[in-house]
Amino acid sequence: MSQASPIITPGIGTEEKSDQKTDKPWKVIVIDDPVNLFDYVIRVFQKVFGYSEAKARKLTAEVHYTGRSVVWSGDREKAEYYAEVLGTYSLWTKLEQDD
Amino acid sequence: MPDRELTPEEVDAAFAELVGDLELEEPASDSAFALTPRGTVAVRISDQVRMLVAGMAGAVAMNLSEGFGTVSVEAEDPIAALEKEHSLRQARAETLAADARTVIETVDHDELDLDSAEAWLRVVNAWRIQILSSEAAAEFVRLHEGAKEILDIAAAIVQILSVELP
Repeated sequence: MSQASPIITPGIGTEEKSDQKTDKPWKVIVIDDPVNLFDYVIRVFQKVFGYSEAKARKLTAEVHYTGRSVVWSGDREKAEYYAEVLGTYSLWTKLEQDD
Repeated sequence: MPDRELTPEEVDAAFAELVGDLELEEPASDSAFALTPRGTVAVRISDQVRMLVAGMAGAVAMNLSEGFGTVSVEAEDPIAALEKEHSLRQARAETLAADARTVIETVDHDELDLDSAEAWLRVVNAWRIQILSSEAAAEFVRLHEGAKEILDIAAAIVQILSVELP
């Protein structure tokens, strides 16, 4: 099986399924946590992804109220890069490939 | 694990040992950190708060392998998963170690470049995460009002920098 290295860490996680195709985009998902401040998370999204304040605020609200938000999707290498950077800001991040 | 709870006097003594005779003041206002026309960040905080920030940087640097949580791995290929996990943790640790060095080197500066200010933000926030994710530290904060005050100062620094930095 050519698969599957699901990793879940408090900072960064990766999930794969054995039947997934490699060309499907990867989603960077930020998981809610009880520590990081709202304005801090908004700023991190603006800084890391270059999002507008409105978009960053919407994503942060989604994380806060639903427990998670897909903050970016695209190729795996870049998704891993973003997850790594978000980890340096102490955000809880998970990577998932689209179904 | 202690076999008894600390008395209030023991908590006070432990706190005094940690922070000495600091008279704590929260960053006075949003102007504690402010962008300058030169694109730098002016730092207007007391020497006591600077000492706290230096202490936070030291604590973050000493606990790079801890404090950012345990790692759980579910993998059909555990070796690949562990290698990935290790490289990502290593990258985070290296970034935070560099950030902590930057904070210690610039803690007495009245003006920071944006990269240094970013390092302050990440380090102080990382310290908050370390404290609030540690059961023992969280209990200490619960027991001692002064410890809570330090945590509030850290939150204020994070809040102000988050809003002020471009």
